[in-house]
Amino acid sequence: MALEIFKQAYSGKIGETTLGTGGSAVKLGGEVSYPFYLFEGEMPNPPRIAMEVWDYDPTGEWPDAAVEPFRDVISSPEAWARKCVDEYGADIIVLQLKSTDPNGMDTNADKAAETAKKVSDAVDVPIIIWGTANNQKDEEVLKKISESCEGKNFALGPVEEPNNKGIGASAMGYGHTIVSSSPIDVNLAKQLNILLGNLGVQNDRIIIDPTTGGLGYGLEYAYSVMERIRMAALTQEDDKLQMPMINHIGNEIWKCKEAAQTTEDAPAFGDPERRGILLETVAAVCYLLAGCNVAVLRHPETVRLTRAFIELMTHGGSAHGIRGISKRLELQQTDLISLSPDPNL
Amino acid sequence: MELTGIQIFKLLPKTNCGECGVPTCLAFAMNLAAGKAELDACPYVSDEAKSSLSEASAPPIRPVEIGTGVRALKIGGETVLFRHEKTFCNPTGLGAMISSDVDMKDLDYKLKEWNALQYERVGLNLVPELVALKDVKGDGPLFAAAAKKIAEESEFNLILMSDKVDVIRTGVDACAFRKPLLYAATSDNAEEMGALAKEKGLPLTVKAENLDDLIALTDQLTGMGLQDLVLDSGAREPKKLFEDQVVIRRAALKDGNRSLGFPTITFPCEMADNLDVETMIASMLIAKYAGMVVLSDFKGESLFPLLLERLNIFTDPQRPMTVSEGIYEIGGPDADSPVLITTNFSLTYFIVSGEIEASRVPSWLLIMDTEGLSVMTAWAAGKFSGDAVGAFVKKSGIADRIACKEIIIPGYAAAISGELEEELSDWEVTIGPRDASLIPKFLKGMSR
Ligand code: B12
Ligand code: SF4
Repeated sequence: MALEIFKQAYSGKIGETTLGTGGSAVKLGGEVSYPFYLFEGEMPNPPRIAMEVWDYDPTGEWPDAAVEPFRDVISSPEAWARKCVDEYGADIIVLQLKSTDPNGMDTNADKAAETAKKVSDAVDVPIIIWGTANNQKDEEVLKKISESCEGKNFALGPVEEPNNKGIGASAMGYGHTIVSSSPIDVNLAKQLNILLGNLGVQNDRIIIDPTTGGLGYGLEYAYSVMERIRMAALTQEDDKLQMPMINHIGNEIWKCKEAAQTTEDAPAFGDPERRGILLETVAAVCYLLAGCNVAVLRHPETVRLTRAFIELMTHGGSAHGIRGISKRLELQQTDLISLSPDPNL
Repeated sequence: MELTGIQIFKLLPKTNCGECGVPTCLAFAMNLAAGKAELDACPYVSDEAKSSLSEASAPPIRPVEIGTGVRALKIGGETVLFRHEKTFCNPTGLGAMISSDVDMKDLDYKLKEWNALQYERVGLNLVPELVALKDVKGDGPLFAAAAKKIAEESEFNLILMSDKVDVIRTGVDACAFRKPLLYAATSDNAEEMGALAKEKGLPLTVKAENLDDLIALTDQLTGMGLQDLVLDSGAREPKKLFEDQVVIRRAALKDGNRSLGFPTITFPCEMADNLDVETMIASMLIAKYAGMVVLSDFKGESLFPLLLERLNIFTDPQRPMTVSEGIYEIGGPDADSPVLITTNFSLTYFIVSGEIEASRVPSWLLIMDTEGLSVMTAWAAGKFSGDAVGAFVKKSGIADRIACKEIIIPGYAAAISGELEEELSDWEVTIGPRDASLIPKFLKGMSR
């Protein structure tokens, strides 16, 4: 007797949100099953990969492995964005307006809007504009950008409860999408989307940022909250949670200590360049399985591997033939034998 | 499948004698169904009822134990599909493959190298558990020699892999004391492989080309009296393998399918050409239900991310890991040593105490109970406010043990400094760095 497989009944569907306009627009969401459960439902728009561009040169802050692929463009956001798209195949660019942080360089809204415009003109993929989670400053900056880049359908975030009205109204007025950001909590995610709804923001103009934890630094919390959001959306028809989700994976991974340690400092942790990329890849796979629709990544080799994963999981086929990581930095090796403790037998 | 109270009631004596502690058989049955009573409390149940009840109450996915010693592994035994429902209890075992024609010197080298890959985190030692020894020439003595060396000289537990029963038997003879997993019973050898596993009391993998054949094989083997089985559905492409993992787990949990109620083993090493792609596939399998994952090698850059993922996926989602509140002495501090404060979330504590240790500056570390929340989370939840921290510092008694009242707070909690200064008027409040990795430089730089 052939096995009858137990199928989950889905009553809901993730809505479709479009970023960008015209021929370069990208459609997100639309799935009617848990992520990659293609034996019982469809995922018409497989997850997309976005790459980060910062609005100042982060060379001193990033591990060498993350800087190396961008060394020639890292001080110019537009050149950087172009390289991500032309060479590394980014589907979307996330412009990180890190320099606008009032506790840091405090770049003003006009300057930020200029950068946004330049980056947007440099590439023909959709743009996500990302602030610093300082609600007041973000509102000021994102409103300015919303206005000066009218009609481009950027995604603007993080939009949180305190600034949802200001940014929400501006996004509606000037034709942009909202990234609604809440701290790892199903109810808070829902509540914020209700507020945005009351304001008049349509569901198909919202992406959920459930907050991303680093691998070994809170990933498990974000992972489960995302699973619960998907469950509510697909099996309980909770329409205020039926939106695509985004995860800022690269940013969380490359700031953790283990992504930066040299082989000298952490000999058992292997080659630092490969380690950083694999930390990022492993986290990306976890988030994709939890329901991520836009994976924001940093390293181009993570991008290549993650894209291969999405392709394999949607179209099937063998993973043979997919290249391993191409290194840009010299391989770092250590003598593990001298570190090896006596076995406890 | 779990029985209802009524179904259990039908199997009880129905005499309502009350010796089980509740007045009626029905009440007792209800308690049994709810897991609030043990069957042994009724002295009158028939053996027949006992056996059908214990079968019905067996876990839907059988827990299987593999190996011995510090790296002994238990897999299976899971009861849910999603980790927010209940903790995933038995972490995916991690293995590396080695061929039986390996040079003994190389094997020695590999085992030592792999043994160096151990990672301290949140007070745990994260390590992989398994070496999969694969017979390549059908050569029993060669296979046995390698098995013996691994079993006797390393902490790793063994998966013995061959389709030839006699080769496996020679291997078992060399390492049975380490309780290896046998791989694999197939439709060609199930009878003999099953007999060997039964004779030696060892767990056995069942391998088929699809789930229907797998079910037929596990039924045949359980019919022979075997219980500790592990499943290989044969899929070697990520999409199909993912589907199989989900289907098997659901069949066992949702349909009470006993034929698939066993943990699984998976082989990224056979699915890709390099360890990087294997690592990516393994990360999918750790999240989605594999009992074991076998790679082509262990290397720090691949193993460490996978161990972190495993730690994350298999922790209790309801309650964060915590350490107890109090004054922690690091490196033998005295009256002139610096005082630092953080929260009682295990991850936070171990990161911060590790960095203080690395600084080699003897220090006092105050751990405040924030119900296991990290610094920023606790601050946002109002549990690491200036008032609360101040009150805790006062009651901790640290003031009696130091000469200079200065307290170093986490950089991310800078916002509490004003309030804290008010609360601790005779103290100096110093804002430390945000990231713990900067603590050593910070402590060394404090001129004392
Ligand atoms: C996982 C997580 C949770 C988990 C809890 C995990 C836990 N056990 O703490 C859950 C899901 C439960 C949670 C809940 C909430 N969270 Co939360 N959470 C996170 C997340 C993703 C990671 C936190 C973490 O584990 N960090 C790792 C630990 C090790 O970091 P840490 O303790 O800060 O320690 C580091 C440093 O501070 C330093 N350090 C520590 N101690 C010391 C001491 C000294 C002396 C020094 C010098 C340094 C130092 O060393 C460590 C390593 O560098 C962050 C976002 C992020 N990506 O970081 C949000 C985050 C912290 N959460 C946030 C919020 C708002 C909340 C909630 C209040 C939301 C709500 N309203 O319900 C709740 C509060 C909880 C409650 N009411 O019970 C916000 C805080 C924003 C802010 N700054 O105000 C964050 C930043 C998310 C965001 N961007 O909005 N959260
Ligand atoms: S001891 Fe057994 S027979 Fe007596 S009441 Fe309890 S269940 Fe019934």
